[in-house]
Amino acid sequence: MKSNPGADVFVILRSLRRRLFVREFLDALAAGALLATGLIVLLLGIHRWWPVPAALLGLNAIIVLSGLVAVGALLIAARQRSLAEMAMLADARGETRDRLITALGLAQNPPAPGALAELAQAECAAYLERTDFRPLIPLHPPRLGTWLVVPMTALVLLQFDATQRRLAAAAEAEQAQAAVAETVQRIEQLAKEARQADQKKPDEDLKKLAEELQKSAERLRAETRPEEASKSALRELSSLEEMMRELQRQPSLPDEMKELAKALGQLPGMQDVLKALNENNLAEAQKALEEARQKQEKDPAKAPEEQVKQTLQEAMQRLGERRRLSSALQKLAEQMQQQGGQLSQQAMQQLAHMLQQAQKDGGQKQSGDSSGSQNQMTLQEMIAALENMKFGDGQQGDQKGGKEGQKGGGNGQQVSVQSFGQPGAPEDKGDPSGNPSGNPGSERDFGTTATPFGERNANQDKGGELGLKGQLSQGETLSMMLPSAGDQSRAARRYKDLYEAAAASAQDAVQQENIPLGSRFLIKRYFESIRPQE
Amino acid sequence: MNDDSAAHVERFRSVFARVRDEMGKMMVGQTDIVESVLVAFFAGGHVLLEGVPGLGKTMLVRTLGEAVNLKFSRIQFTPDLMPSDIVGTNIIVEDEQGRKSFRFEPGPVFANLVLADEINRATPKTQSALLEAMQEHHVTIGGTQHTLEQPFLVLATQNPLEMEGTYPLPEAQLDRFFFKLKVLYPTGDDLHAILDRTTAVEKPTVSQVLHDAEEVRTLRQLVREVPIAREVQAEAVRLVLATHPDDASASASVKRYVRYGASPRGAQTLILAGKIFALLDGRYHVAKADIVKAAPAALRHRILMNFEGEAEGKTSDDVIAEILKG
Repeated sequence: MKSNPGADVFVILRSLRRRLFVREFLDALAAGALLATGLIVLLLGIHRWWPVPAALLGLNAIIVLSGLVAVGALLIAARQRSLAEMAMLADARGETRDRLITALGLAQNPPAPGALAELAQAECAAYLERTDFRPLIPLHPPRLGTWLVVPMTALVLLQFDATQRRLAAAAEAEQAQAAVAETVQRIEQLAKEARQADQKKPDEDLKKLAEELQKSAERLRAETRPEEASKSALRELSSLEEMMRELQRQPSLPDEMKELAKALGQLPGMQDVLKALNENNLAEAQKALEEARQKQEKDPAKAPEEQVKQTLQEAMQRLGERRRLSSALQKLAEQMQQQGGQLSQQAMQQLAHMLQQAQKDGGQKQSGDSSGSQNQMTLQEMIAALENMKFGDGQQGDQKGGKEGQKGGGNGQQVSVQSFGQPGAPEDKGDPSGNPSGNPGSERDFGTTATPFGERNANQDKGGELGLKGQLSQGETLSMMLPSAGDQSRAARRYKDLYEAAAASAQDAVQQENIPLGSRFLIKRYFESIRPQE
Repeated sequence: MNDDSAAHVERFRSVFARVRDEMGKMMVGQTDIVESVLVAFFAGGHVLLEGVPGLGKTMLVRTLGEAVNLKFSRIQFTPDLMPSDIVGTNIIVEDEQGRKSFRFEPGPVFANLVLADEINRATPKTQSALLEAMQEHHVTIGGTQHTLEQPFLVLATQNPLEMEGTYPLPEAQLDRFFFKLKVLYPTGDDLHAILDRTTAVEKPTVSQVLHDAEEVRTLRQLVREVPIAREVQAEAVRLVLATHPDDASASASVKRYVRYGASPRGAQTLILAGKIFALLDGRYHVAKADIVKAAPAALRHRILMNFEGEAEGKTSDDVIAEILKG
């Protein structure tokens, strides 16, 4: 028998504790790795459809995650176990019959000599000496480690998929860039021209226009979807066109209105009309003009007909000069259209020349609002050019539609704008005023309204209550105009509210009346017909 | 000294095995019952045997008495049995000169092995008379205390079928029994063996293994010397506490079906029985397995089921099995 048999149990238990530490560390590491790879797979899976921040998928994130797993595993494994706990653990795992815990207890509290406990201690020591306890805590690769194959395989597949999609995206981006390259170049050329015009004669509108053109070019350059490239080009051109229309809607009156105001201002009794025109209040101007006309009818002597004719003639001549320039632009647009939407170097030079000409004309006039008028002209000309370019681009994607749209172009300065609403474009039956036509896709080509519901019109004012005089009696009828579903779907809800409010009383009224049996069916059908659709 | 201890342990095993073998001559099958009765005998506890009549309960006690050479007595409990019928009484005797005096006439409880047959048929008053003898190992008659001879072992039986007109043992008295053993009906092979042994000309005889009570006391002392680790003892504590519905470690079924859990005597029983099982297994220390082995017999009569548990047919054995699982 050993002199200190209890010493062995300490060595054995400490050895087992070290093995358990390694084992638990490996197990925790495997579990952590499984969780981490699962998380990465999850993030990559999400990233495949919904992009997640790159910081979560980068190498740094993986390093941090690995570090966290390692530290976590270390913390789990480093949980200090007492020797008694180790003894109980080993006793529970092996057929030791609690010899380890007994040996430990007897070693820590040595029994009195001669007692049966000494015999038990010796028996335990002999058992410990002849038994190999290492199999109780085997060191083998963690079983969870085999499950790592699953997320690793998923990772490889996701990486492969990501590479394939990256290559495809690069090819698509290249294709998209090729599709819009020419448009981008042209827009940039226009932006350059606008900047030059702005430098020669600084104007806020031209500067803004140049910036927007440049931004449009950059946005188009960033387009990566080939199927959307042509649409994007059209969208950009439409937005540019809309922007220039906004620029046109300056507080000052258009040239025609100004010329008309000048002409009318020379006539006697037209002060109210002139004032209303200057305030841009067309309704008031119309009203004042009507009153002036009525006055003229009452007193024809005060209105020398020759003077009126002469004044109007001068106004028409001044307008004609503007229109000639517009006609020239229109011809240029047609020329571009005939060249398949290609804006040649010569066309560019002509466009630049017209811009310069318009600037010169504006300078010669030297009037207080001449620069504004000139810029208005420049803007309109550029609108026309953009329209033509748009048709040209549209022709690339949809040759027929573009050509027909161009053929439908009318006369005058706003020919390009009005061309969409012309009967010459049968598949584009949108309302020229910008309202939805009801035909799918017809509004898309306009791109001229700020909201998808179209511009405000008289229908917007519907819905108010109106008292109507009765035709057969003296009483009034309360009439309410309910907008239909086409007008922002307001009617359905309000009608439903109205119906629910009135249905009960209507039903009471019908029940109280003595209605012939033959008519009840009709009445019932009537009420069914006016019931709102659910 | 170690050699002496080893020799004592070896003798204990030898005696236990021989007594078991001698009892086995008369008791066919029922090896677990025999072993458990011997465990209780060497631990100094009493045993409550529950089983139908005719299963050899009386034979078991008689055989044990013969094997260990101890005085044996049998008391048939009936409703009209009085305490004095058990513990004895003072009677008037007249000497040769004609003088009369009281003399104590010991009852059947003054024996080393007492078989209390159908103990639940006696009134509580009579049962309580046995209670003092079982726990205190002495009886008090006429103000005089009479110590019982050691070793003293009560083996009580009760019939689980005929419950009419019986007086179930109160919890306090049940708690004084070391083990409660359920004597099961013998199998077919065992029945054949019983018939062969009891219907032949030659009947088996039982040899004396121990010669006096002093040997029994020595062996009982040896049992108590067996060491037990604190953590192993904690298993006994855990088991006992787990039977209490108010304890935090109690399971859901214990909380639902148990009214009262085991007393500290239950833990003492677990440890003492575990020590004997350890010696029988060739070890000098107690293992948890020894305590688990003793748990059903040591705890089943100490767990009082509530009405819901009885209504649903739950037994204390079910509760113990669940505790041992968890």
